[in-house]
Amino acid sequence: MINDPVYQKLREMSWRRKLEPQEEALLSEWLAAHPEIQPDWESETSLTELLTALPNVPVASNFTQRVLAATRREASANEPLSPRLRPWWTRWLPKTALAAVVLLAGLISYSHIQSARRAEWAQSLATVSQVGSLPTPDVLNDFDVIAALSATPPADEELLKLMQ
Amino acid sequence: MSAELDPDAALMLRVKQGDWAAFTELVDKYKQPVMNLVFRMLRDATEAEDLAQVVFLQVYKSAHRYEISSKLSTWIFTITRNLALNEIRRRSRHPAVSLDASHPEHEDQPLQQYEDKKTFSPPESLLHGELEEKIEQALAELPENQRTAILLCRGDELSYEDIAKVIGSSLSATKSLIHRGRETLKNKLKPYLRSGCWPKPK
Repeated sequence: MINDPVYQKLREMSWRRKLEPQEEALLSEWLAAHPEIQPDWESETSLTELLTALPNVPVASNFTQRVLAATRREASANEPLSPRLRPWWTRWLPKTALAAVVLLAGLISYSHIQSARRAEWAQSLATVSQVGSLPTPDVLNDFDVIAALSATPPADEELLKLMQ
Repeated sequence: MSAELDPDAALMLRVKQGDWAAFTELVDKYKQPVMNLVFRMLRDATEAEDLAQVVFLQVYKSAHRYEISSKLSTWIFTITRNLALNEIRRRSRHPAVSLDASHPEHEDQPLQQYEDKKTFSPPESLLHGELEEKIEQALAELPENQRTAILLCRGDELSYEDIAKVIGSSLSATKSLIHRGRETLKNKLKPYLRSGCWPKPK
């Protein structure tokens, strides 16, 4: 009967607050119908009263002031300084850093282009130096005749066999 | 939940905008519930106060992440619980050595007495002595999630849904945690519950 929803609901409400008059009336009615639950209800109310009567833990009178002082310290430690209070060099630092990055990028690109150009020149020089070792143009005098030879029809293999 | 309807959300909006008066108001409003929870999780008043301070520092630092749609108390208690759990884990990795531990070379000398200069205001409740100690002890012996759920359930500040969010469990699991925790407490405190000598809440 202790698990009856009406009793459970009233009990749960009594854990948090004093019951309203109509809730008290409902409880009395319910307990009259279930007198065996009366001891349980009494121990419930006694425990609630004991817990409610537990004394507050003493708090130091200057607690709020201490919290405020600690919070102010923390807040001022994390607060960024106003631009006027910052050292002069910190104001120029972002701009200088950006300029340095741009300059560095320019230097790297210039150096890259220069090295590419140098490689190109070196390759041209190597090609030119190889020209000296080529055969003379006289070697190519019979080039057309030799090229025409390769265009002649293939040998008649049947005729060759008969001749043998 | 809009800022117009929820004063907590409006307060947090002001904190987000860097309003120190709003932050002071927030600390004043939540220092007691945060301390209650932290102390009952750590069982050490000094550490609890230090950690509660860190909680509010964290609230300030994370203010920009706070979503107005979520409940401020739930958010603060979630931060509180996470930081307390971290502290418990840290403690379990690096257990502190007690200053009262006896040293063989000084065994013949009397223990030095340190004056407790901390003054506490008188307790607001009528609970005293043995009964209060028994309840605190019974609470301390509960598993962490049951204890936290029960402590958050004490007031009507948080709904069961809010408690479930803080604990990181479903609604039914949270109710079950509270039920099981309360059953354990009832068993441990049976003699006190039956005696009827508990004080009435204020």
